[in-house]
Amino acid sequence: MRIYPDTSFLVSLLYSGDRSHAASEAFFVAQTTAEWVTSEWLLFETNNSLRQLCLARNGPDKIMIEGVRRLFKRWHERGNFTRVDADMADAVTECQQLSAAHAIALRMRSADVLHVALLEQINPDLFVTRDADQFKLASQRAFPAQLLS
Amino acid sequence: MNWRESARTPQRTQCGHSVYWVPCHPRPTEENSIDTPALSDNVVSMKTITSRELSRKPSVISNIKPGEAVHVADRKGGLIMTRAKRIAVTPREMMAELGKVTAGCPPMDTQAFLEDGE
Repeated sequence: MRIYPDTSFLVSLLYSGDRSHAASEAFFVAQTTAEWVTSEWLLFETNNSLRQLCLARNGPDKIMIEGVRRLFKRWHERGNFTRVDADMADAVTECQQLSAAHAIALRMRSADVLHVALLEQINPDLFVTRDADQFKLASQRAFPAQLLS
Repeated sequence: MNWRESARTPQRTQCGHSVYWVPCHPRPTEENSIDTPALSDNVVSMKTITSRELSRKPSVISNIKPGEAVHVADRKGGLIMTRAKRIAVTPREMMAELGKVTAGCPPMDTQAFLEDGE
């Protein structure tokens, strides 16, 4: 099974201090044979979000976050994560179509829409998110999706 | 050795890469297609380059990372060079690695923090 996670799930998984980390970890460990698919956009947004955590009051140490980023990169070489290439121009076109179809009815942050647009190209078996808005949008597009709270 | 045998038994190079030839004619069908399932567990991304690009930049081949493949296309199909992905750790082991890196990190609600920052 190929699973495409979004940034909210990956940050929760990679930052063990997150209040939902246990749920994300349990889900991740349960998928023993799954291939976790990532895109260039997802890697950027995840790494950027992890670094942003350092800005929080009593946030994590920047050296620790750099260690997490490197570990995540290593998991793409010897773990079950796989980066796939996607055509960003096509993805932006898909974003415009998504916006035209759903933006007046659903909460759609621009960066999050891009993940759902990428699903069209990556076509995973499951989309995993912690973001209810993104879950609604992916479901509207008939992508198999799972919302982890 | 024909192309089908070549695809099923890739040759190993000194760099640790696997090499095999693929045809482009006739178009692969269900009957004569390359037996990819065994390869797909190891190869995670493939890019196609021309032989001209290869001659101008041979480092494209020598710098293949684990899990990557390069297809050098030609009229007969081309050459595929792969480097197997080393799946060396299980999800549980990955989480154990993460635990060591993030030991003692302060508790927080990451999603709430990141959404507030937008």
